[in-house]
Amino acid sequence: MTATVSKRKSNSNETLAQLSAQEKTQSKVSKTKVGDTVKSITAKAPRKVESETSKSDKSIANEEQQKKSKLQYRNQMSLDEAVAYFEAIVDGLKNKKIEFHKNDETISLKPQEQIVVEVKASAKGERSKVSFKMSWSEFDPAKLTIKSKD
Amino acid sequence: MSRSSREDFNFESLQDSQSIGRYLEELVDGFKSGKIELVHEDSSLELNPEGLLRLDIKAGRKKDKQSLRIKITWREKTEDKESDELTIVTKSD
Repeated sequence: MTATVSKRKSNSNETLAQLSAQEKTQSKVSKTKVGDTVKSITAKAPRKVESETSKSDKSIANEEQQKKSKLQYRNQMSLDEAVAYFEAIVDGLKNKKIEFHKNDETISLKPQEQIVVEVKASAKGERSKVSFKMSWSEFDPAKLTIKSKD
Repeated sequence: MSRSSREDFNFESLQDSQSIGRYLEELVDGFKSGKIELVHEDSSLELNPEGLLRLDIKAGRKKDKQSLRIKITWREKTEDKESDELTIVTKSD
């Protein structure tokens, strides 16, 4: 398996941080040096375009499934490739939208203003690791109204 | 740099998204420079990422809760690593 990252600007000017994993036989990873103005490494991930005007039972079921879903990606890669993923995630945080694609799996996250961050790092012998976990609650102000009486 | 004992660093806090972005940017800079220094109060840990990294990303959502975990693991080179190298030479004639 090999990994690809792409970042593109959509028509609505929102940044899409796209993560995908593809079989090595299907595509070659073209590496982009960090700091290049062109951020796209490859953009061969399968993408689904759904029309919001024609909501079928399938799309409703998908929406229900999206309320509880997860996506995991694990791969060994060069430092430059890992940095590209990080930068895509940073962009997603700034734009309040991070979308992950892995084969047919997709998950879209909407980071909120307040985020619980948990940083763990350890080193023993030759092995080192660092983990960065972020979690937040989606808050819809329209759901709550509080009024005070005079 | 090889360590005989395990060293740990833990930090948990509620932050705004801009601060989280800055943390991640610092982490990116650390990976680029090969030196990540984590410091919080009396606790600190220096890491030296290099070579191939194993990246593990978990993104999840359940009802109104969303989470994203990024985990990176790697092996730091040791000074005596060269002595472990294996060389195989074959002669066709």
